[in-house]
Amino acid sequence: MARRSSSNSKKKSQFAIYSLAFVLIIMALSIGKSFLNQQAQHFTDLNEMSLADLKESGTSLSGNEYRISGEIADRMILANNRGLLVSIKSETAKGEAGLIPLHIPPGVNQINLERGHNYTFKVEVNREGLPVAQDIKAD
Amino acid sequence: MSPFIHLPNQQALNHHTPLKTMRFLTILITLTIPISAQVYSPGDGDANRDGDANRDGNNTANGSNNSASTTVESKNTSASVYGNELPFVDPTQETITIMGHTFGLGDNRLGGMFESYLADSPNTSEDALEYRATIDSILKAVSPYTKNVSVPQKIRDGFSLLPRAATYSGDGRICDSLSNAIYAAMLSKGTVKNSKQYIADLEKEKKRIIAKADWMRRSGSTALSSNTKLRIGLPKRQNGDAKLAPLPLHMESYKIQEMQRRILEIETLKKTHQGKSELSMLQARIEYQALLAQLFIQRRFEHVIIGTRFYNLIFQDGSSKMHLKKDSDVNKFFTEGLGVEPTVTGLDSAANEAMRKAKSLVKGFQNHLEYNELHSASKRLTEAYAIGEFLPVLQTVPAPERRIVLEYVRSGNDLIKAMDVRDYTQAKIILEALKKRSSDFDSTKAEGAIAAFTRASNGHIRSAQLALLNGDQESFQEELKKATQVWPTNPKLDEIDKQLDSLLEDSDMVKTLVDDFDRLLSEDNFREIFDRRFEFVPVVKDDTSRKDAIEQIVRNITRIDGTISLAEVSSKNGNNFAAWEALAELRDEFPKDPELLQRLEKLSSKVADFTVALNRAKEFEDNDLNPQTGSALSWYMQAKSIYPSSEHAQEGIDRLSKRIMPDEREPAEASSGSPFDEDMPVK
Repeated sequence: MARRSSSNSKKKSQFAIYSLAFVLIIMALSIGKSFLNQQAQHFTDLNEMSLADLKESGTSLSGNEYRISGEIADRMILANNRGLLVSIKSETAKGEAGLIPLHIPPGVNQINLERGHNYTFKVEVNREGLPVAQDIKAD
Repeated sequence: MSPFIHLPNQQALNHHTPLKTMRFLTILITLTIPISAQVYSPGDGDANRDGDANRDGNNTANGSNNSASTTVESKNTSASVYGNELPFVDPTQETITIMGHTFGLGDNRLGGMFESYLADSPNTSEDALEYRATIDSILKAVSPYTKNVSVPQKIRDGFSLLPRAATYSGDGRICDSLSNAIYAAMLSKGTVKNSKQYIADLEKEKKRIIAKADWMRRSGSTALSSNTKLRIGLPKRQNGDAKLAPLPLHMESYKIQEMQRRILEIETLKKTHQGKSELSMLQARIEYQALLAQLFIQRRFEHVIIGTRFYNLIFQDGSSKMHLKKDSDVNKFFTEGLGVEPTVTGLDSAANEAMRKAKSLVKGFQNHLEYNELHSASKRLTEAYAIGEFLPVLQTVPAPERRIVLEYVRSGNDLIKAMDVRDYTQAKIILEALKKRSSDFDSTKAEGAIAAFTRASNGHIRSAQLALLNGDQESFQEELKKATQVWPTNPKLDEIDKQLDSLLEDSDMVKTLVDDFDRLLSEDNFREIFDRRFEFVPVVKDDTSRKDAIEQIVRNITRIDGTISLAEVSSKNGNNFAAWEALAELRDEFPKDPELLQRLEKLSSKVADFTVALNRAKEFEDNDLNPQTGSALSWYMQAKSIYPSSEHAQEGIDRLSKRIMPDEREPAEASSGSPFDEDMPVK
């Protein structure tokens, strides 16, 4: 009987150890991911642009700077050296999904912009409610 | 106008008939039928035809009125090139053609009488048979060939039968008239006989007085004078010799003078009675001959023969010369027809020849009938009827044979009437029936006339139609008038009427259609105009503005319908976006087309998200007061994400991309480069 008791308490202690180790691992992974996320986000000092506001009234956002992150769905070179017009397939933290038009003037830091790739843009909404890229970071 | 009639077929008709007799018969017909020749001749469509007809009618009437002066028309010289095409009997024109000569029927109305005769039953009643037997008996009784009978007995035998014959209604009491004439002649003859006796007595008395006067002169005896009455008239030997006993001079003077006066009186009386008897006999002859002539004219040939035979028995002096008034018709009939003085014997001969001719014609009629030669049969029977309708040979023609001819003649009359009123359709039908009915009916002239007139009328109708097409109203009316005159019942005239009615209706319809078109156009009801384009196009073809309008409407609606058809195909293939876009593109051009809007409405429910995105984009794009390029682009891009091939969305993006300025601080107009450069999508 005593032997049977000593064996049970040993098993219990092992289970506790394993459980604790698992919790610690999970916590470590979460912390690591959060850290890594914070490391990958650009222009975090800017608010994410509201897609709903843009669709309802872009001019209401005129003059403001926002951050837009997403995949380039389409792009178009504007004539007369006016830069590019791209559409960003974005999904905000609020769960809004949709396409955001973005004008990239010629003077903006040039990087390769390819369809299907993710980028983060620092934008300023012009007076006609169109986001104009100020800076671009590839994700 | 010569009273002689040339008979070209006389030898063929009668090889044994002398020429004079034939002329005699022909003139007989002439006498019995007042003349006014007129053969039907369809007019040439001239408007004066009625006048001609009236003129002809007047001539006919004149001929009838002047029937006393018997004339014979020469061979018909119709003005119509189609003349003589009608049957031989033309009751409508009151004419009859016999042996190539046309005679007017005048008041005799032979046509109607002949039809009555044809419709009548043969006269074979018991009375009729008895009558004919009586007539035969009379003829036999007074025949010169009856032997061993004295002349007075012959007269008595024949005379006694005349009243019996007169009782028959068909005799018309002619035998009574004949009896009266014979009786009057007999009385006259008896009066003359008494007169002759009286004259003889006067002559005897005169001779007696002369003898007495001679005796007195010779005897000179006064004694004689006292017994004169006893001795007068006695032989010379009884009265003694007058020379031996002369009267005293003073006495002789008075006696002789008185006797001479008496002799003169007797001579005067004798002469007077001789003149009276001669005059009475002449009067009796004239009256008797007048009756014979009248019976001959009435074609009572049997009575004529009876009369002549009685005449020969009554007046046995051998003189048969007829005492007719010079230049009278009857006198002309003999003198001009035969070229001889008329005689009772000639009358008898002519009556016999007429009877023989009638028999011959009836025989010919029956022969023609046997071979179904109805035309010739009808002619023969008509000729026979015209010669002697009262003869037994005519009266006993069987009813079936008459009926055949009657129907044929009626058809002929119908043909004449149809031709007369210019109903050539009906005339052609009758003509065909006549050709089938009779094997010898000559239809060539009638057919030629019908063909000519129908062709002429149809030609005028064609000319009228051409004039109508050319808008020549005057020519149209003139040609139509001519066509109607030539053939009033031409069926093609009905076609003209229908065309004119149609034109009138069209005129009203054109106005209505133009009004409808203008109303629909003002209502922008282009669909209705398109649906009724086949009504509108013909009536507005000469109106440039309306024509352009309807052409444009038809062109656009055709385009819309074509697009709708394509959209339906796309929709069936599951591509409602493409279908909607195709129709929506037209909506901007034709925003009021109901069919288009209806289709779009149906499709909109199936592509609601897409259309909402496009509509919102368009709203922002068109907001000039507060340009919302960003919002508009956002919606266009959303629409394009729903239907990547959307042209609407792409066009919207392209339009808006041109509004994007190169720099926020530079106006769009300041941008450099060619205005024709296009934004280029980067793939």
